[in-house]
Amino acid sequence: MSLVKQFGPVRAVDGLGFEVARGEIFALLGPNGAGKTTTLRMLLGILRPDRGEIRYALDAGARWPLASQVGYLPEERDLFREAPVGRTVAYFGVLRGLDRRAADRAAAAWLERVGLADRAQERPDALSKGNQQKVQLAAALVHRPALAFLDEPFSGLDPVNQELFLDLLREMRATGTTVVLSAHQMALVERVADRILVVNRGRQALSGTLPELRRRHRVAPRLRLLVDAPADPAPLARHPGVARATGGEGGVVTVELLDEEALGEVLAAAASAYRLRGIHAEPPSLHDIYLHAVGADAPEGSAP
Amino acid sequence: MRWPLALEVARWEFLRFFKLKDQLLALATLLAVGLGAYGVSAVVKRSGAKPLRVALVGPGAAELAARGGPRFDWRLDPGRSVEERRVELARGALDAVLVVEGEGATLHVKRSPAWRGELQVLLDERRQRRRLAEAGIEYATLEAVLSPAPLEVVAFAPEAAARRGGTLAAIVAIGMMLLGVFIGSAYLLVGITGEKQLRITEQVVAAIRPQTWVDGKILGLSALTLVLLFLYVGPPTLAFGLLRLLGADLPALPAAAADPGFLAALVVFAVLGFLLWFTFFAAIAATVDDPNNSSRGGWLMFPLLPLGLAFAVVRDPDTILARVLGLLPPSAPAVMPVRLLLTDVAAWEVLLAAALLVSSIALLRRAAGKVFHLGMLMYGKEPTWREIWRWVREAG
Repeated sequence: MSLVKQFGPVRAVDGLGFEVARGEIFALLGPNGAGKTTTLRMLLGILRPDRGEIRYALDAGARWPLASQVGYLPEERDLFREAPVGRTVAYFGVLRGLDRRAADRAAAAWLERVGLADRAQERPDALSKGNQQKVQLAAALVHRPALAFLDEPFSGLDPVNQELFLDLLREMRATGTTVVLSAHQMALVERVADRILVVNRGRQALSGTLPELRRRHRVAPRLRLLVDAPADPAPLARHPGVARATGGEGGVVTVELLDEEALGEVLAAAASAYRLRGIHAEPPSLHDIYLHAVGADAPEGSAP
Repeated sequence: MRWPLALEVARWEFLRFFKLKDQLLALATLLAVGLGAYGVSAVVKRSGAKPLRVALVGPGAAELAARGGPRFDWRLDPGRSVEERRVELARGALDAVLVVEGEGATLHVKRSPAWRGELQVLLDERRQRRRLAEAGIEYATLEAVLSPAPLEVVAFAPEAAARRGGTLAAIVAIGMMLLGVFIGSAYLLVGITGEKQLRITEQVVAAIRPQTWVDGKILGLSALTLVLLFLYVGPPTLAFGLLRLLGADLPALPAAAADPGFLAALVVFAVLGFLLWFTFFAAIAATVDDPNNSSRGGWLMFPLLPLGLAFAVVRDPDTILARVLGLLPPSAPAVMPVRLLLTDVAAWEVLLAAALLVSSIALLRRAAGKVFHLGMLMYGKEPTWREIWRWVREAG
């Protein structure tokens, strides 16, 4: 599809092309201003791409999904201040095609699921920010869409609610909902996403499953060497196969390899420099891969 | 499939702003204030009707005492001096002391009175009589000279003549139209800019077409405005009638105000007027980024000009200008009901005015939908008038 979207002099999306499989959780990652939200807005039809095409594999030759098939949680979101949250959730259900009675039932069920059944008659101002976000998620998904677009669903959530949102995402996947989400929280994304697309400056930087990314983007593992304390990391830091070596005071020297191929040489050097008591090798996290792919090219002020 | 959704939006917008408890409370307050004001004015009127106790002193006192009617309770006692009377005035036994000398008089009071003009009329008349007597002319002769020539009016169209008592109803109708436009526009501005500021826009635009959204908003707020107008005008009108039945001294309601044909036309033109103006305001409101810092809120005053012209039509509803204003969509919602109240209007004029209004609403709806769509998704700045005009042309 190779989408292009330009706002004045800024090319927000610059030839981005990807496919999302039915029933998977597909994560869009990237620094601020990478073009994630613009991409989601084009996928939803809120913005029209300047170039490129969006195709949905739908039944009966339909070219665009019905409102009832799509759920959307925007990055910038709020609730109607004048209305009780239960009514707001039901209203969004009606806008998405449910009849009024079904919308009321679905709203009650969703508020029950997110632990807010007893707060349905309250206005948003009476709820904490985290609870308001739960209501917003309920409003976005009340009609049980086949396709859900969630823009930064984890932002502002405490760890308990982050876990709740992860559970909800897994439940949606289990019931066949396709989820496209954008997020900054790598640790959360790598726990739930089936496939990941890293976007930078409107273009694709990385794409694939996490194991694929690890394989394809050979970010060397990080070694944690257990040694007699205190230890000086300098001998390893000078090694040509090592990007960085730190620590040592507490009996742990952390070594970031430049290349997986150097593992044997570095371990030999470590054995001659210290009395080794143990070795832990950590596979590169999504965060490491992301930094490796985007870090050097990220725009100023971007968050990993 | 879009209109049922627009009706759902309309229902939501109506219920969002219509709080029955608050409205009833406001209405009760309004009625209490109205009844209170009526009571106060009745008390003031009653106290104002009490005859004024004025002591007349001086050579012209007896001559003036023959005039004044029930308003003045003249106290005439040639045996008492001005000083004695002033003591009584200070004590509160009198309202004033009037010393009448020559053609004029001197009034002694605690403070300058509101009834000074009434006294001035009596003194003027006394002087005129004296001068006429000196010239040997009867006062009755002067009255005959100054009285207007008799003019009998024979109305050619009796129904139209009967409606002439509807001026008060016409002014009330214009006032209701203006009040309705302002109420609905204020709700639109608050609702739309509030949604923009709260960033609810995207959630809704992703679910329904912006045109459906704005259609629903306009329908809902038009219904809300009608209900609020009914609440504001209905109970006070009933109270007015009830007070009259109980014998209160209130003017009679014009018969035209109860004419079902007129009431139906009033409702139709009011609804069309609300739809026209609210469509316009929805587009304007969608382009406002921050209502606290935007000059576009001033556009709320814009309908004052075309709708306010209806006040000029009240004086003469049959001029060419009045007939044209009755047909033009911006002014027709107020002018046509006024003309229907005050004169005979051809059926084709009424139908043409309604048709022009409906056509204008249909045209404006498309343009407003486009402006609303793009304006609602524009955060952080307001579109220029040039941009808005481009959107409008694209909608065409």
